Amino acid sequence: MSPWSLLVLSLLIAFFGFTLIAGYIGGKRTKKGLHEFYVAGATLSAVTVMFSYMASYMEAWEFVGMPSVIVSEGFEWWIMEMIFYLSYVALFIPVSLRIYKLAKMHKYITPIDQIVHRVGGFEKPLRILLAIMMIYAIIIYIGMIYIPAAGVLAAATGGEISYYTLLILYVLFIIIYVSYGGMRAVAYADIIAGVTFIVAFAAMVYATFVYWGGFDKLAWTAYTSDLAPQIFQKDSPFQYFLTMLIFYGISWLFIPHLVVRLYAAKDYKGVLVGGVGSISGFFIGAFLSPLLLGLSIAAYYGSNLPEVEVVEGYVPLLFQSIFGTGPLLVIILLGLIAITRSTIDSMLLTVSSIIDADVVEKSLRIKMSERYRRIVTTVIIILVAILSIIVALAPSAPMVIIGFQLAFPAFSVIAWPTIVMMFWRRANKYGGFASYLAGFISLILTYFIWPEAPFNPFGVWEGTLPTLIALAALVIGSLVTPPPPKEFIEEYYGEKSKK
Amino acid sequence: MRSKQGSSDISSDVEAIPASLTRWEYLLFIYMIFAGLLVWYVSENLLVWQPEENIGGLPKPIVGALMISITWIIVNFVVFILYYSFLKKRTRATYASKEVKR
Repeated sequence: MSPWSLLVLSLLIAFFGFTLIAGYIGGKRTKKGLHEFYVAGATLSAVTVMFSYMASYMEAWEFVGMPSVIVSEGFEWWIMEMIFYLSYVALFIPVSLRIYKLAKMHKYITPIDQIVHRVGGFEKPLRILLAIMMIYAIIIYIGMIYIPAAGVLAAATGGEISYYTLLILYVLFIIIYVSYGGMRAVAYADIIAGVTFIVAFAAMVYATFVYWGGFDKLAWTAYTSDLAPQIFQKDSPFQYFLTMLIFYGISWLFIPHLVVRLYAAKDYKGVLVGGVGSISGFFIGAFLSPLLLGLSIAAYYGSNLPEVEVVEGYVPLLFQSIFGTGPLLVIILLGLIAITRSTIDSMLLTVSSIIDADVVEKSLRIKMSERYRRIVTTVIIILVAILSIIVALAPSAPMVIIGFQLAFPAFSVIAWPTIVMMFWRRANKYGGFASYLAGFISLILTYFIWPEAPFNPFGVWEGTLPTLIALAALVIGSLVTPPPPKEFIEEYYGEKSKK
Repeated sequence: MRSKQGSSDISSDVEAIPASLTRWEYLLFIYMIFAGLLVWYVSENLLVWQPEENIGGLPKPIVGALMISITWIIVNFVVFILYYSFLKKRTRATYASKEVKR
C-alpha cells in the first residue's frame, strides 16, 4: 500500500477517533429528558437552527453526487434538482411556520407525534406503521450516502483500497461510534464539514478563474467536449420534470430528520432566518458547487473519464488532477467524510427517537429501565446501519438516481398526506390512516408491477403514483365517514383559548 | 403522545401564525403555475446540445439552469421579507391585545 493510501486510511480512523471523544464530551453536557435529547428543549436560536438545518440537509449528494451524475447520467438530472427548489423554496416558510406553531403548542418530540395527533385515532397501529415507513425510507437514504462515503475514499487511493473494504470499515466505525453514544458530536462534525466545504468551494472558484479562465470558458469547454452530446440532452418526458416540481419538491417540506429542527426552534424568527439563511447556503452548495464541479469534470476529462468503482469517485480524482496530491486534497477528503457522517447522524438520531419514543414508550408501552431502553434503541440503530449496506453493496445507479427512484418516493407518501392534513380540517382518522397504509402498500407494489424505472406507465416521477393513491385514500376515506369532532379541531389548531 | 399543557400558555409569536392559509397566501398557487411554465420552457427549449447557438454568450442548458436557480433564490428573499413583516405586525398586535385583556 502506498503512503498516500495509508494517509487516506489514517484520515478515516482519525476522524472517527476525534468524533468519539467529541461525542463523549457532548454526552456529558446533555441534560436529561427526551425533549432535551431529541429537540434540544426547543430553545435553539435562529442562527443555530440555520446551521443545524443546513448541516443536516447538505451532504455528499450536493458535493459529489450531483457533479458526478451530470457527467454519468446527464445534465437534465441536475436540472431536476434545481426544479425541486422552485417549489420547495416558495413553500418552505409557509409550511414550516405551521409545523413550528403546532410543535410549540403541543410539544412534539418526533415527527410521528405530529402525524398521530392530527389523525386523531388508531394511535398504536399508526405509530408502528409510520415507524416502519420512516425506517424503510431512512435505510435507503443511509445506504445511498454510504456509496459516496466509500467511493470517494476508494477513488482517492486509486483503487489500492477497494470500495468494499472502505464500505465495511466506514459502517464499522459508524456502529462503534453509535454504540459508544456519540450522537451529540453532530455539531462538532458539522463544523469540520462546513469549514472544508468552504475550502473546497473556494478551490473550485479559484480553478474556474485561474485554470479555466472564467465561467464562460469553463461552460463552453464542457459544452463542446466530446462527451457533451451525451450530457446535454433531454431523455425524460416533460411530465417527469413537472411531477418533480410538484410532488418531489413539496415532499421535502416534511422530511423527518429536518422537521425536528423546526421543533427545536426558540421562536418564529428561528424558522424564518433558518429558512432564508439555509436556502441561501443551498444556492452555493446545491447550485454553484455541483455546476462548477460537473462542468469541470466534463471539460477536464471529456470522454476519457477515469476508471472508478462508483461514479462519485470522479470528484476527488478531479481535485487530485488539478491540485495534485497534497494538503488541499486531505482537507477535501476530511470534509467529505464529515459531510456524509453528519447526515447519517441526523438520520440515526431520528431512528433512535422513533424506536425510543414512538414504538417502545408510546405504542408498545413497554416499561423498562432507561439503561435497557438505550440498549434496545442502540441495537435497532446498529441493525439499520447494517441493513443500509444492502443499498450500497452493488449500487446499480449513482446515489442521486437511487435517491430519486427509491428513497424520496418513500418520503413523499409520508409528507404529502401530512401536509394536506395540516390545512384540510375535514380530514379525519379514517382517511388519515388509510392514506398512509395505501401510500406505503402502493409504493412497494409499483416496484413489482413495473420493474423498470420510472416504475409507472405514465412517465411521471417514481413517487407520484403512490402519493396520488395516498391522497385519494385520504380524501375518499375522510368524506365517506363523519368529520372529526369540532372540539378536537379547535384544540389542534389552538383556537379553543380564543373563546 | 405530547404535553397536556395545551394552548393555555401559547406565546404571542405562536399565536400570531395563522393556522389556516390567509387570503394572500393563495398567491403561492399562482406562483406554482408560473414555476410549471418555467419548467416547461427550460425542459422543452433549453435542454439541448446546440453548440452553434448561445443566449447571452452562454450555452442554452446553462442559461436554463441559471433561469431556474435565480428564480428560486429571489423567491427565497421575497417570501422571507413578506412573512417577516407580516408576522412582526401580527405579533405586535397579538401582544397588544393580550396586554389590554390584562
